[in-house]
Amino acid sequence: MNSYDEQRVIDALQALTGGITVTDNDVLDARDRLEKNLTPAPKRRRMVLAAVAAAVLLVAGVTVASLTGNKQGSAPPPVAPPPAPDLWLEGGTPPTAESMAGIWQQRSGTFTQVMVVQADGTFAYDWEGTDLAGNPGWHETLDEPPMSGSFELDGYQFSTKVYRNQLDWTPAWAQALMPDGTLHTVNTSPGADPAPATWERVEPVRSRAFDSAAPAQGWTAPVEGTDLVGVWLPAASGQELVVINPDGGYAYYPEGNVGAGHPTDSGGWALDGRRLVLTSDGDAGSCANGARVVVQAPRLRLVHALHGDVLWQQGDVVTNDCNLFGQSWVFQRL
Amino acid sequence: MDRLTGRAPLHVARPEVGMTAEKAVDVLFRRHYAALLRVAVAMLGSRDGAEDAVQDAFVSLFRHWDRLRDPAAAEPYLRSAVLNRCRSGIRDRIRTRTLADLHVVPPPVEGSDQAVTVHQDNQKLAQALRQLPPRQREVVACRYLFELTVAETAETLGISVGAVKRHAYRGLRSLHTVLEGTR
Repeated sequence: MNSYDEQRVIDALQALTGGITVTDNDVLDARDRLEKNLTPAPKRRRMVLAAVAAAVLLVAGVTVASLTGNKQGSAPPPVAPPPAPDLWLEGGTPPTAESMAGIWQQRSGTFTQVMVVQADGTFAYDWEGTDLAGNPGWHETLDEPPMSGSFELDGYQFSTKVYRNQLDWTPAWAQALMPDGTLHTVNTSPGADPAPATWERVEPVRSRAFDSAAPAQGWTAPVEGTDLVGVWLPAASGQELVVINPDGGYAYYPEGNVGAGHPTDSGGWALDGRRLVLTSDGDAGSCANGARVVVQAPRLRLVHALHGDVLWQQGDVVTNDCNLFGQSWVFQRL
Repeated sequence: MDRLTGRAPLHVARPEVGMTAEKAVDVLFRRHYAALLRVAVAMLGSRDGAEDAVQDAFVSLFRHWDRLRDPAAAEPYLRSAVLNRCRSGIRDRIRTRTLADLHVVPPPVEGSDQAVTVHQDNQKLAQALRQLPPRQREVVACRYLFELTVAETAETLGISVGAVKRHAYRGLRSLHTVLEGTR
């Protein structure tokens, strides 16, 4: 594409917006609508604030009672987790930075939210929920998370400091590690919906939610290449992630490396009729430039589950020059 | 002050330090609403959806005004907020597979062959724009619809200058292929 072609595309793009009329009356009407939208906090929000305040009072009350008991000379409290600040967290323990380190996922219907927590006190959160999960844009999320910053843990409380989109944010939530390995969270940011949630651990140890077997039937061929885009977890073993990106690239991350953003292998992918072909660019050093993985008849199956939909991918490996992925090509999409 | 509406006139420049959130949002609204709406329509292909996206962005700015580091950050915030909402809207449509049904460009008034051809080209370009990977689409929107510099685009999207150049090149190349395909 030369500079003439480039200018032609730019002119055509600008012609798109030039044809859209916005009159002074449109602006004034919209301004009136905006004024109606700038109303005080709705009733629901006030109720949430009241619930958060009640939770704080509950914690304060428990703390005062505990201190009073000590003054009266009673036995020191046994070593046990402090009382959970919310019913949703009961039965769990307050996590540490080390025990939280890894990748967490929360599924809700077709949405997936992902949180990458590092033991050094930094974290990244997929703000809109689907950037890491098959929606074009996830790759940028790995490189340039839409929301990232530092966090502090104080018992159950997880407080963050992030800078995103010109704003300083301090999202906070209470959380507990549950006996089944999941993370329960309750939003405690002022004015936010408490939104009790369950997070499954993706790395370094995968939660049991990922142990389900691939369905036996109902598979269909991908209609187009973009149907294969996403972050895929091998279902058989290991903690690797295979990332198929909408720009035609792929990346293979071994255990624990996704957060650091260093793939073991990368290259390009193409859906060639009934074959998925991954060709290494050799940049990561593990595979030779041009090494190929060829998957015959890739197929997809969406499974509706109680805690969110799961997309499966399956295929038959017929060429595996670098032997990175093994012979089994069965994945769940993150 | 506008005599009829009692509000700041449309040519008011920029929000200033010390302005209340309401006043600053009013100033920004009059200054930027039309441009933001045009870009949102091009991105989403739906005027109603675009109006909602721009409204939401201003409401969000109003609610977060005290968190802005500087009043000058309001404009990049608005652009970024509109792009984020467009991204969500496009994502929803991809899920429901209705993207092909959208019509961003009004049909030609005259029925000449040339007008129809231009209209079809524009429709294809608009659709291709919405089908670009999100980061490419947002970089293209910032550079060529908002007409921001490379540095301003990098700041708005929170990415490096190099990434802006890379995504802009790839985005334009994809759109060029579509335009060529219509010839």
